[in-house]
Formats: sequence, structure tokens, C-alpha cells
Amino acid sequence: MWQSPIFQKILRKLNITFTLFILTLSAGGLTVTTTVFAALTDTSQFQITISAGSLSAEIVDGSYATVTTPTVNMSDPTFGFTCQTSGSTGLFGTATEQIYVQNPDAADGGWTLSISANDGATDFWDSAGTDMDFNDATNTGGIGCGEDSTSEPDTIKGMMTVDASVGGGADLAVGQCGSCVITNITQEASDNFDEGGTDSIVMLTAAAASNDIGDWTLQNVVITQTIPAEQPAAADYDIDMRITVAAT
Amino acid sequence: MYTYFLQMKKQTNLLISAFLLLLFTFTNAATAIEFSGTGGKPAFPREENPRTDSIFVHIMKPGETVEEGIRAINNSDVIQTLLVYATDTSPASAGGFACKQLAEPKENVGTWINLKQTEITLEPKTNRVIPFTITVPENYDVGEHDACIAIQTKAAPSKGEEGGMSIGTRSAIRVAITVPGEIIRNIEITDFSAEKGSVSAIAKNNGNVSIDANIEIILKNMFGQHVITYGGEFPVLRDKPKEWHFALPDFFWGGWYSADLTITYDEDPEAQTGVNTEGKLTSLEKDTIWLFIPPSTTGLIVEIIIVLFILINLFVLIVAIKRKRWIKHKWIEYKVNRNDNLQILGEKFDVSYNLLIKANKLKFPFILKQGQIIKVPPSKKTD
Repeated sequence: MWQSPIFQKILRKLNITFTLFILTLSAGGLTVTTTVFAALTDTSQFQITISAGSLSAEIVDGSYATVTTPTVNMSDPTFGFTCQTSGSTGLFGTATEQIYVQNPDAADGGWTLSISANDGATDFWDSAGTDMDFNDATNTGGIGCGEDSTSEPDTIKGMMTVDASVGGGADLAVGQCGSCVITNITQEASDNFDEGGTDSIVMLTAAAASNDIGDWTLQNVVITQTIPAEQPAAADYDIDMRITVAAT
Repeated sequence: MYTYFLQMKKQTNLLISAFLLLLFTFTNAATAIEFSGTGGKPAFPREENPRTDSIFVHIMKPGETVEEGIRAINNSDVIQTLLVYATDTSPASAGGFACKQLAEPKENVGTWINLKQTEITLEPKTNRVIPFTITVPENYDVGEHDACIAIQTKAAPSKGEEGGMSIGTRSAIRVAITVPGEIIRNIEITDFSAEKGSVSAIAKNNGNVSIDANIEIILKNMFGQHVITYGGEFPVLRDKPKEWHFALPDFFWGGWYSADLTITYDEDPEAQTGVNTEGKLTSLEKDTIWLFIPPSTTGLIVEIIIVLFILINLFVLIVAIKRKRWIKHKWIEYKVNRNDNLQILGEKFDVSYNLLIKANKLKFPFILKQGQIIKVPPSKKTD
């Protein structure tokens, strides 16, 4: 009987079924996305604790590992006697430094992803020499070229524009989530900082109907800095920016 | 032979098992997300308002204090020291919600929030509740007032070596406090347009509370067929125009499309952030706009080929009709002579012998008989 071809065939089929069963079990284990703790008590009851998740934004590399010192490389303009409205540009969000938003069922009513200067609206491009502004939108000889002497406490010029729009080339994509979509997440239009008027620029807005559980990446957000006329040549202009993902 | 057959079957089974193993392994690699960030969420959500799962929502009288809590979470693999702080809201582009930075002084609703702890160190994959209170000042005006509670790692953004822009991250939670009184919930559509590859709408909140508005833009092609619907439910903040810019996808054929805008919201003063009343929703509409969407490159090439094909065929058809009329009205009868053939007659009447064949419906082998009457173009050579 054991040598019977039919019995052998049944055994092989059972082998495949068993393999499938084991694989399905392990698949279920692997899909648990947060910390799982199982304890077998003396009454043989299983206990699972899934830790809370929070809406978060990070800068990650292509393997979704956190980048510890993310920066945006801006192009190097040359000194000019006239204002350069597209003087320096850079790409925020690259393949190795992606903007990464995770929502593990923490913001069911939607969220926004915005960017602003880390020191607030009075921040500027700091240099050992003459500083340069990032939010003086006065339109004198070109937007961002003038100096607002009334509402701004500083005396420096310059303006930064952030373009996370589809038309500007920014690329929103689903991260590691296999079943998520970018539907109901809007890439906002290009806008410039304007002290007191626009201190934060919203890059993404997720509607209430966006995936409650999901993760997304954003790349190729175009940063453009207006270089004021006669802005001194220097290699040390720096500014700290911070992106905020806010549950709304 | 039978042994060979058995070996083959074994190999097949092995291959199937290996394939299934690989399939499941890679399927799981694609679907398993390890949420890794740091942040927070409301610690004490209330059943009557599902929105309190995500943000802090309270109706509070002037002078009233409520106790709340935020669950600070570290889902990363390392110990994190987090800063937890309240801020005012920040004026943001597109009428969106944003928060001021830690460095900026609190002047408005941020000052109402008093956190019991502003710095917390969490082990990996742990969380802890930080209690706080919200106190509305006396004699504060009716309506909604927003603030944020933000969480960020203590480490400051690192500077680039030679200048440049360094980036830090944080997460925040909206705090929406409504002081009861004469609540006004009113939205008006101020703009609906299409430009630069997007369709845009602007709605202004004329009320004194934020409104969760459902925007719907339906795009139809020139035949009235539904193509795509944009929209969703978004908060329209108090005193701010909210802008929506929905990017148009690449349409293969392009062409003219119509767009219709509808915004629905609960106008009932009893409604609040996260909770609509059971009454009828108010619906706002704007006149249909028409927009031209250029075709994709491939679509354009295909369209050019189709148009050329149609034009060429049209040209050929017109030529054929005109020639038919010319033959019918202008051609004359001619009696075939003894030495005539199609080639000779073609040269004689300055016309191709093919046209003579077609005009006279001659059949192969196209031999003309003496005395046969055929039609030929009018010519001086007919004598």
C-alpha cells in the first residue's frame, strides 16, 4: 500500500498543502506591522499587544533608513549686480533623502505636510558676512528682490519658493505599503515665504478619505532662492528648515 | 522509464514549493511596513467624537479648564529624547494648517496649553502619556481657536559643512477649541478655474469655526462621459481662504473637458469638528468651466496620423467626385477607329489609359473593337 502510486500522489499533495499552510501562517506573522508581544499563560491564553503608532515625518534613504544629517544642496550662483530671481535652486527630496510620511492609523481626519524655518519667520540665510532673507517677498525689481522696511524687522533681502506641485516635477509615491494609494493626497501649488503672511508652505494635504494606514514618499520638491542684487559672494550661507506633519 | 517519470514529478513538486516560498516571501516584503517614526497622538479619545482619535477637540467656556493627555511615541529602534511643546498656528500657504516653531514665542492659543512635561526620553518601541491642561482665558471671543502640540527629537538639525539647507522633522497635532456662543458656519466659493495642468478652487470660510467641507470636482469629456472625480473632505479653517489645486493627469487623447464643482458642508451651528448633525447638508455649486487638456506625446502622434489619414482620404474622395462629374458632364462620345487602342487614345486625348478603363468600365483584357463607342475627354484631336 505504501508503494502505491496513488498513495504516493496523495502524500505529495499533502506535502504541498502543508507547505502552503506553514507559509500562510508565517505570512500572517510577517504582516504584523508593529511590535507584537505574545505570552502563553498558564491558562493557555494568547495575549497580543500592538503598540500605538503615530503620524510621523522623516527623511529616509532608499531603504527607508533614517538619514541622520539630511541637507538640500543648492546650486551655486555667481555674484550679480542685479537681482537673480532664480539665483539658486535645489531639490528637496531625492532618492537617497526622501521625505517620508507614515500614518499608522493615527490621523484619520487627514493631515498636512508643511515646511518652515526652524527658527521661525525671523530666520534667515546665515553667513559670516551679510545675511540673506528667505521670506522678504517685496516686489521691487522682481519678487523677492526688494526690502520690506515696514513689516519686517530685518534689513536683508531674498526670498525662497517651494514647489511641491505635480507640474513642478515633485513626485509623490506610495512607500512600503502594498495596498495604499496616493489618491486623496493633494500636492499643493508652488508658493513663496512671506514674513507674517506665509510662514509655512504646505506641500501635501491629505483628505479625510486618504489611507488611514499608509506611508508615502515625496521627492523632487523644487526650492528656489532669489539672490538679491549685490549679495556678497560667500560659501557659508546656511539655514535650518523643519518639515512638520500635522494631524488635522 | 517509470523511475524517470517519478523523478520528473518530484522535481516539479520541488519547483512548485520553491515558487510558492519565493512568492510568499516577496509578497510579505512588499506589504510589511515597520512604522518607525516618533510622534504622538491623543491619549484620551472620546467615543462621541471619532475625530478625537487624531486631534484634540473641545468645546470650552471662557475660564474653563480641561485635562488632556498626549501619548508620546517612539517607534524607532533607538532611545529618543523628545521635546513636547505647544505652539500657535502658523500662517500657511493654500489656507492649510501648520504650526509655529519651538523657537517662536507663543502669543495666542498656544499659551492656553500647559504641559506637565516638555521633555521625555523613551526606550525604543515605547510610549508614555504626558498630561496637560487647556485653559480658556476669561472673556475670550466666541468661535474656534486652534493651536498645536508638536513633538520633535531634541537633537537640532545638523548644519551642512559649507553652508546649505539642513532639514529637521517633527509631527504635530491640531488642538481645536471652540468657545460656545453664536456659532456661524458659512462657506462661499470665491474661485473655480483651470490653469497650468491643474484645476483649482478657492473657498472662503466666513464663519467663526473651521468647517469640514467635502469638495467634489467632476471632470467629464466633451461627450459628457465621467472621466475623473477629485476631492475629499478637508478642514476649511476659520477666517482663511482654502485653496485646492488638483493636478490633471495625462490624458492620452486630450481635448476639451468640463469641470463641475460642488462643496457640501454642515451649516448647522450644532455641528462641530469631527461631528456633523443629522440635518441636511448645505451644497454649493459653481458654473461649469471648460478646459483644454493637451494629449500625451504618443496620443498627439496618433492623432496627427489619424487626421492626416482622414485628410488624405477626403482629398482623394473629393478628387474622385470631381473627376466623376467631369467625366459625366464634359466627356464626349468617340467611335473607335481601326488602329485605336487604349494607349494611343490616352496619348491622343491627354489622359491616362487607366482613367479611360475606369470611365468606360472596360474589362480585362481591355481590347477595343472598331466602331465601339467610348467616352473620351473633350479635345481638339477628336477629328
